[in-house]
Amino acid sequence: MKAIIIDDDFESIKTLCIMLEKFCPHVSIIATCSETVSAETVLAEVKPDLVFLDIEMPGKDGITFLKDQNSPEFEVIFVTGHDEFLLQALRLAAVDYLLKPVDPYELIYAVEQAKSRFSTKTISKRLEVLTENLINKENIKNGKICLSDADGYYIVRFKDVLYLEADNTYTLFFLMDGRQMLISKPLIEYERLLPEEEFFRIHKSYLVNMSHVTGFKKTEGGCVVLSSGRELEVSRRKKDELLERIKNLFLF
Amino acid sequence: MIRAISCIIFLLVVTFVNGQVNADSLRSSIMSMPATVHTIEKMFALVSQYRRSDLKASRLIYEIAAEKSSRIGNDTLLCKSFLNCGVLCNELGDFNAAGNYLRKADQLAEKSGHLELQIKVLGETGRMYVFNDQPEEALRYYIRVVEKCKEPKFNHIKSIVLGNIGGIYYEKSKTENDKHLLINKGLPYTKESFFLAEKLNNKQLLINQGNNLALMYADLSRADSSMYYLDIIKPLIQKDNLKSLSTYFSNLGKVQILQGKPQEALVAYKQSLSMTMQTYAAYDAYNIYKSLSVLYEDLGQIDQALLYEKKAGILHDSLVNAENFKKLVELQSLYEKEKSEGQIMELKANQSFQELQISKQKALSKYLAFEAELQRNQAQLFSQKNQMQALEIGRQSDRLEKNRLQSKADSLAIKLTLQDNTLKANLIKRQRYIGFGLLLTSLFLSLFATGLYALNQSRKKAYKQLADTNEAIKVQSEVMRLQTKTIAGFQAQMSPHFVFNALHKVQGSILSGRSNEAALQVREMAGLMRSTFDNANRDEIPLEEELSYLHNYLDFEQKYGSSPIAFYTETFGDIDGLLLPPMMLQPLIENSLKHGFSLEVKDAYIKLIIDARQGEKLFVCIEDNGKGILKLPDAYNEVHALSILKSRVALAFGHHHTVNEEVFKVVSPIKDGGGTKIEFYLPLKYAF
Repeated sequence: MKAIIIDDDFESIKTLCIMLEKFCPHVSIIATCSETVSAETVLAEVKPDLVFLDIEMPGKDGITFLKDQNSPEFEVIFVTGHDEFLLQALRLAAVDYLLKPVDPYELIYAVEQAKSRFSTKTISKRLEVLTENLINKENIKNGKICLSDADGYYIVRFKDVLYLEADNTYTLFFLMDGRQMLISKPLIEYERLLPEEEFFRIHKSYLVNMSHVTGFKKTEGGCVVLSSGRELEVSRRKKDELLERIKNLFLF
Repeated sequence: MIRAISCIIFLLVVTFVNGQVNADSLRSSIMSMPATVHTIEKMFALVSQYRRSDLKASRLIYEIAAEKSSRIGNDTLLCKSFLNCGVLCNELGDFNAAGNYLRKADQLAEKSGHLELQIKVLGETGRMYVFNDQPEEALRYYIRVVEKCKEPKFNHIKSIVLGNIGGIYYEKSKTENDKHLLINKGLPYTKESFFLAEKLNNKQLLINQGNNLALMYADLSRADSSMYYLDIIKPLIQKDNLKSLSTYFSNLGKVQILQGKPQEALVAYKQSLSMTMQTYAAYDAYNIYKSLSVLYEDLGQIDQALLYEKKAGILHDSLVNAENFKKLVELQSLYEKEKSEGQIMELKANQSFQELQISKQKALSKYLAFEAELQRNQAQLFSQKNQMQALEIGRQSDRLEKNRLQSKADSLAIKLTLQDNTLKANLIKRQRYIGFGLLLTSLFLSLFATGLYALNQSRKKAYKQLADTNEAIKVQSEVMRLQTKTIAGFQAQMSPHFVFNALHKVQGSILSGRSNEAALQVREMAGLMRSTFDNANRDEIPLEEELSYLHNYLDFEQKYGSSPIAFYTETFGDIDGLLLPPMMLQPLIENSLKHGFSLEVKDAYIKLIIDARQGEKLFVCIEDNGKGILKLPDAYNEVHALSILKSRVALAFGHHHTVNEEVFKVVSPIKDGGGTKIEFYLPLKYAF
């Protein structure tokens, strides 16, 4: 597997090289670039299978650089330090990323994923989600999330999600258009990923989009009514908090 | 006590036998002995047995004995001590000290009327003056002795002293002009001594005095009297008593010369010489050589005379040399003494320097204690500041709540007025409808429309105001929320101690070539730090997350350590989806880990108890079986961590809450063996 590393920090490149040699011997580093300009020519020349791309770089950052490539035919693994907002965006876009200092196990996993997938066709779509989310920092409601299941990638806007239901370690997405998607990540992952201003955990099994809540029924434990007419049970403990949020939502 | 004494005596015996005494250790060991008659007498007995081997140590012991005696007010013992001190000082050549001691002893003996002791003291004083070349003083004291010795039981000593007096006169006669007068002064004393010795039947004394008398008479050229005494003592002298024999023969020679029997005198002198040679009495030999030389000269045998004169000369030289040597030795010993005094001074200087150092260290420790106090105060101040901040936040959110209620009331009031106005308008409308004609209706309608418009305007205005207030409140509450978070985040920071410690570990792994281990450590450390930073921005995290964080932390800290500390968790009630403020427990566990356990704690454990069964509150308890907080040398960290925890508990409950024993309690030690238990409550919160 041919790979190149693009990173403005030389020491960082060196570290990654050593780790790849050690943990992923089948990956051969054929070039390294310390800035994006030279990287363009290297890409054209080498045609790598895999690019390790640093995001925070002076001049053109990694994401912009990648967007500028027309129909890239390589897999990308982003490498980044610690920026919470960026991480959130990366996760939402379901792109592969590594955090510095790089964890050997995560490196191995990321390389395996890239090898098995070669899903280069979706990279531009996911990048779009990524950049959009990054640009729309202020407007969370218009955010998007990239969901992948066995069949492929789906880009979903937050406002199109009705609610999420836990199914053991899987999560079932219920969308506005009636579609359902089973994703192999636990509900708590999405609880942290999706903006808490929009989504509310009303029950052990439900994370609900507050924009779609149209009512509350006090029958038995109480349940919320969604715009689709679906009624969801509310946990006894969360009832007060939910009512408070509904009130605020309706009052202003 | 007996044991202690015997122990010390053993010590003394050992030191004496070794011949080397460490004066300081000796002094300290004897000083520790109790001051009783018994111990002092023991000391006397001991020293008298061993005094020959170490005069200085003996003197020291007597001096201490004197001190102890004076402490218990026993004059006799004190007198004895002084006496012995004087004798020893004399032997050591310290005449001034000897004189002082003996004078004091004399006074004491006089005061207590202890005659025997006084006689001894006076005798020793006389002896000292003889040693010290002060014959007049010696005579004075000896004569006092004789005066005191009236009772027959003192005859022996009286005899000796009388002999000594005679001897002193005789010695004086050698150097002074009035030779005969002095010898005649001495004669009666020596004679009395001789008769007393006869009475006492003391042979040696008798022989000595006989010889002395013979010598004295010979010097007075009274051969008959001299011969008389020589004849008396002759049968008494044993063959092996070489010294007495030598003197006898030399006296005999002298007498025979006087009697005009030079040949016999020659024989006598030669016999005396052979005896003298056997006793190595050089001075006596010199005298005999001299006498022989004179004798041979008189006999006309000049060659023999020359020979003996030469021998006498050589011996004299050697004697002078010996004298010189003795002086040299004396000088050397004096020098040594000065040197040792110098060393003592140095030691004293050293000691005072060390004392200075000690006082310096004391000052330093005081300063440190002061600093620790200062830090403690600072920590307290810090926690108070935190509490103040929490309080301030509480007050502000109180105000917010009030504002919101106010605005709600305002909006309700507006709604009410609105309804009221509508009602009124309706009423007016109806009245107008009924009361007035159609013509007027249009007028009123237009009026009403204007009113309605105005009303509408005011309503809009009120709404706008309300919206503004609300916005302001929202902004304010957001600021508040961030502030709270910042505080919590600040408090939740992982201790720098951990970070640097961890880096140190990694460094070690790298330097010792364990690169895989280093990589793993970096990974674990990164994970921990990432969670730390992430958590700082979160209000609550699920219990599982906190627990896995704690486990990771403990694993990291303990993987490479020697004795692992068990960490286990007990949970009660429904913990599914339980939420906790993050990073509350880690500092406590870190403290337990770092300071709580010493090596001797076996089966070390840290136990976390989470109890969700107690109604509105969640009970949390962290317990360890370590040393206990109070026993820690630097409780500052613990106190610091606890004060932060306390203010965070307050923060979790909100401003109204006072953190008292009911919600926050530290028990340490749990039992005698130590251990620390920190119990506190948090609001019970669930994710769903």
